[in-house]
Amino acid sequence: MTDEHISDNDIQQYVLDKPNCTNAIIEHVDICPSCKAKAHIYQLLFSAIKHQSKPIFEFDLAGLVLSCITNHKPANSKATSLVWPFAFFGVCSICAIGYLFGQHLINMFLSIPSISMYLVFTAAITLMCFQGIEMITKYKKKINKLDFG
Amino acid sequence: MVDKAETNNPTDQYLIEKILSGNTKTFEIIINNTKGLVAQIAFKMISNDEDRRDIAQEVYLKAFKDLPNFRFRSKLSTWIGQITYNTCLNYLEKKKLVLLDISDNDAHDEVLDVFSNKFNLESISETESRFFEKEVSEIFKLEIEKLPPVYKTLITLYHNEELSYEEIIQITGLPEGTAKNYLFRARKYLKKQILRKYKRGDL
Repeated sequence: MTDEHISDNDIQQYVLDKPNCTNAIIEHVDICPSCKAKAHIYQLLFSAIKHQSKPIFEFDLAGLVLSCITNHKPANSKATSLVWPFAFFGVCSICAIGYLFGQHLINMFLSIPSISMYLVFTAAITLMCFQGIEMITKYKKKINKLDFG
Repeated sequence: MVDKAETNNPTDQYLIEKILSGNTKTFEIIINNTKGLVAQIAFKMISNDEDRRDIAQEVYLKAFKDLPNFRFRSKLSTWIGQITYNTCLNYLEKKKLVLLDISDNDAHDEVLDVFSNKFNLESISETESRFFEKEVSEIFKLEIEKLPPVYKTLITLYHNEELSYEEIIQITGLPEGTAKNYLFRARKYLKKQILRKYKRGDL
């Protein structure tokens, strides 16, 4: 047994997980009245917390929540049902624009000097990169907060 | 239909599949299974009754909305516990309330430790010992309520709800070392509070 008292960390471990304590800790607590008393305080503390009455909501939580969600499906199924019509509408719009104004658009781009074109493309790609990075960062933050499952 | 024997938590999976197929009434079972944990976290973090009611409702609406994204990497109750904890944290941050600070001073540790010897109950009778223990337990209950919300929640989840470190880490999103350290500090702080009271003669 060591003469020096063991740390609070060791005493907590002794009370919570005695089988995994080192022999030195167990022997010290068994012999040292001061550390044994500290261990007893922790035992009282853990017992007090364990026997605390558990709180309950005094209102009908299930009723309250169900009144808000009845006849609604979880978000994803609703979102999925809307995605396809929007996607179809988007593709149709692009095709219509291409069919009606395709030649004009090609001529317009061909008439712009190549340096100006490079500048426009570089600026657009840079902006898209920044926006993409921001979106990914925000998404990761949200996922970490809510959806680890 | 999912083969229940193939999954770790068949009940969760079965319930979620039923809800996703349109049977929203089944969500009531999930609420009833998890409202105890939600109450523990909400009561420890939020002191106002009205706000707790709003938060509890918000938690389940968020859970319902995000249910299709649940990937069964944890228990459903743990996931809902995490939503509760984060919702409460956001509320406390909006209100600019103190989440963690324990105003503690280690300078008087040795002086206080002298009083810990008085807690050696081997020298007193069994009746006195029981009476003393009951009195100390009551004081501990009061002192726990005075802890900052995060410490109070951690200590309740570990000692009262008897959750594992892993579950607590999943709920709070704290690194393992940090969660263990907060628990250690909270217990040590409570021990010191009881010794301070003993020193003052309150016991």
